[in-house]
Amino acid sequence: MSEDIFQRMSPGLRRVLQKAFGQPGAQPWEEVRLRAGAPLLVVSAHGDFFLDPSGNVTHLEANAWRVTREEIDKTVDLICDNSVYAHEAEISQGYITLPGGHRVGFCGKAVMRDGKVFTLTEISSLNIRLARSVPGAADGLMSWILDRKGVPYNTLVFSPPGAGKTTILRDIVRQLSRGNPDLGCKGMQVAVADERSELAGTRRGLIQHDLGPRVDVMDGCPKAIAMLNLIRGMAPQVLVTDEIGRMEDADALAEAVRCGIRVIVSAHGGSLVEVAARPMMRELLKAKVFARMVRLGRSEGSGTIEEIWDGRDATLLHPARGRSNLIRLKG
Amino acid sequence: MIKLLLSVAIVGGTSTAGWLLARDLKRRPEELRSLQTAVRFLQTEVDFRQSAIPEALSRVAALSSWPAGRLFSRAAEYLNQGEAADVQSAMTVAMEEVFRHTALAPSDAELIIDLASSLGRSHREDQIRHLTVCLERLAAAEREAREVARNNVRMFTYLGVLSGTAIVLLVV
Repeated sequence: MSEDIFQRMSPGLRRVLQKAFGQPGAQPWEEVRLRAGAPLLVVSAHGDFFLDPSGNVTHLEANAWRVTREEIDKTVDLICDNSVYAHEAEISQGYITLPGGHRVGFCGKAVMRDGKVFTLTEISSLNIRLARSVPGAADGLMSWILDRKGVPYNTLVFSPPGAGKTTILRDIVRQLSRGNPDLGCKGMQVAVADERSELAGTRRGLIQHDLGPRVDVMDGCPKAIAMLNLIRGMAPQVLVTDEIGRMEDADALAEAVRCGIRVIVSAHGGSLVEVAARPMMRELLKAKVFARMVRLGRSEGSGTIEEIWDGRDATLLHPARGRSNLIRLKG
Repeated sequence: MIKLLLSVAIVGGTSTAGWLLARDLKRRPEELRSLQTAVRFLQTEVDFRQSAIPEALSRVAALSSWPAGRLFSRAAEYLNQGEAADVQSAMTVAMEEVFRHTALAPSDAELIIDLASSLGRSHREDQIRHLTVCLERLAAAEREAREVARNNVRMFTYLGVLSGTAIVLLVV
């Protein structure tokens, strides 16, 4: 999987990364961070480290291989298939999805037009995130989010960035779409509103991850519009979307719930208080839309299920400790 | 008898040379027209379909006549197979392959290589600007090539026959 990404990096960078990660048994990585004039930084589940010109791990900045502007420019060209214009909308949003669902974030000089970011030029930083399709990543969670009939509760999964929300959500989609006989879950029609092309990693109309046989993906469309279109057009039993945050997302979710569709969504936030700081989330929590709320963390590696609440009565279900600070949100 | 055969060979040879030169003069505007049509297709690919360059080149190649069809399809192959690092080097290698079979002038090939140096490297509006400039240059080159052809095709044809005849009269 890494090889796909390495082919889209400048020759110098590719050489160093292939030396470091090209061999079987090499340690897994999660992110490669390129910053013009700065050392090549790799983030793994166990922290970050630099790579030296021979691809060896080092923690000394002085020994690290330094990324040049030219390396960044060349990598951007390759990431864009030598076609920056074809990725204009994605670049203006700050990221591109690669085949395989891997995501590359950009930082540079923003060119504004009509108050919006028209494009980014002079790109100075890239964050290349490896998309992991981890079948079974949601195994520990499925029994919590399915009711006795094997139908999922309305579920909110939240965590700080990089704690595995999308990976877990992807596996939930796969298990619901394929069905999980052990838990009495028959395969369900699942619709995915994938605004950032990350969950399904759709490229040229083909879903890049195994999401099971009953999945429809609205790709690259603002979530709220995508959710309403999916509700109208695809008659889903379950609606899934990643990183909700805007007020119109809440309206679309409420509409889905009114239609009897189960919703499974993720949001950024290290705690319930942080999640509820967003007015739209506060509204959803007050309306008790979510019967299950799951906090992910990294205490035992990315994707660790730290806490699960019943959002209707604020009971902490896992680990069993009683009622949570959700009560404070009730007013 | 030998003198007659030799005379025929000389006149035949110079006439053919003159005819070939004249043919190239006539072909150049047509080939420049083929390149313009292809660049116009490419403009549509970039502007409306927003397809990536390798895909756009392949699609344009399928719609284009010689030499643009061959040129673009070879460039697309180099990019798709990862044999070229960028669009400019893919197009340069493809042009080197195709150029000797064309009637194009080196300055015509330069116009396409110049376009390739900026192709895909900026946002859409800027790409359209580059493509439009290239189209204008190709159109100017075509006008100039037609003018040259109009003035010189007949001359090269006659010159071939007459120079052969002159050689025969002087030497044989």
